[in-house]
Amino acid sequence: MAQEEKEPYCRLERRGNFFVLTLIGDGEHRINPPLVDAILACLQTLRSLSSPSTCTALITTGHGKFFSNGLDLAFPSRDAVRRKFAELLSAYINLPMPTIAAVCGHAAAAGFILALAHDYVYMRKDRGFLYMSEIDVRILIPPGPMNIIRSKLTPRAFRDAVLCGIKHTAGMALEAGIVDSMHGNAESTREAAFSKAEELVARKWNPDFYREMRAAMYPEVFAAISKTLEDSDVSAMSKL
Amino acid sequence: MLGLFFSAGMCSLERFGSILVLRLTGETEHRFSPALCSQLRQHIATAAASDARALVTTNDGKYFSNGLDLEWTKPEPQTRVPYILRELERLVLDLLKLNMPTYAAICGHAAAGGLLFAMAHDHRIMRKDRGFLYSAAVDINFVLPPGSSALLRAKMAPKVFKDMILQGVKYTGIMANEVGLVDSLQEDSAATLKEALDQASKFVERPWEKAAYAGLRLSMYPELIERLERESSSGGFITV
Repeated sequence: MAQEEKEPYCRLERRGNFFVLTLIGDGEHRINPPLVDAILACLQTLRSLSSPSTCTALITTGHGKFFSNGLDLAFPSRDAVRRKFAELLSAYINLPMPTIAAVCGHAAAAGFILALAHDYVYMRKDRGFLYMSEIDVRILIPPGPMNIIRSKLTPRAFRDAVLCGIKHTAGMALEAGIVDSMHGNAESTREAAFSKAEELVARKWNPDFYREMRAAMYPEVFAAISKTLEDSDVSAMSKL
Repeated sequence: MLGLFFSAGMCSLERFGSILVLRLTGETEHRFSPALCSQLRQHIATAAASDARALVTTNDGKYFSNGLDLEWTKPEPQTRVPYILRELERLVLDLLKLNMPTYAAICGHAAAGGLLFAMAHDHRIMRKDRGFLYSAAVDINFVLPPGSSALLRAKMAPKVFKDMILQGVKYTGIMANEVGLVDSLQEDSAATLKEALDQASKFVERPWEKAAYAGLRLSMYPELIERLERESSSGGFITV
């Protein structure tokens, strides 16, 4: 059967004792069911390859001008998109290992939230914004994502990001405490993330314990995302 | 445009283009009495029903507000203190639900209830040379009602919240700016108001929608809003 070879959405690679998940291609990496399913499959593989007794680490990064430009608002079912985004966030926050977002392009709206769902955010200095566009496109932010932003940003940065829709360069994001560090270009950003991953793996943390710590630090985030998934199960069932 | 001017004796509402200026008038301490709370709430209701796109609150004289009107509460503190606290929380709720950005142009002391009123705004601009932000509650054994405490906690960095409330630190304009309590410092009252109007003017030009703005603010602080509504409803709360 002749089939056009479609470029995969993402790729998981092992580098030494940590892993890198790359969003492939020069597109906007908009979050929709096919992209999320591809990422979830990679994360499943990652879990099966990681040791139960000592943490590895995951770096998420992207090719091209975008880390992710947010939800795919052109996808036929908005409900399916939202549900899949909640599944994606749930998968990331439940990973039993440190996670680093190496942001080498724009991260807007849900893309910004995805970056914040990582334990560390490294950003390239020379290009790209972090931006919550919801105020300008008149969309509300659901409780799960809202709790993620609120738990990771200072009160003032939270107000600036959400209510003012400020476009943060890496410098602005660093000053506001939104990102952990900034680096000259895409390659140096990724290299810095690799070094950090090695440093964290060397701490030899216990994977389950690490995940429990994260859950204990951000209980509202976990509760809100679980509730979103439960509610959408309920409403899906009620449509049967 | 110019010329729309309502005055109810203790405060006034004036319109400049699409920005409303709510002014605490006269050289008094602008302490919160039932009369002042009622007049302020009326003006905010007018603002909510108008097609204006920003509210700037400012003051005449040396005080933004020095807190509760203790002359009024003195004859019957057991009933009057809870009453005025409830009125103040209703005023704060009105601001938190208002369908436009709010700017406090602070040209004097904002103490206790006055601090709460200032923090209930989205943005704060302050005179560099005059006025403190502080809460003397700890020095007079006054336990903050939970809703008021939650508001301050939601808007301040953890260390600032602790220093402000548990230590009763008096923040000058310069200190307040350093810790992010205010967004900008200006030379005098005229410059403070002008800066607030300038910031408001820039923001009103963006294509956000009023209902969406209000919805976004509510979704940023849902537990806070819910707690304030419970406390300020008739039946209210008991201060121990």
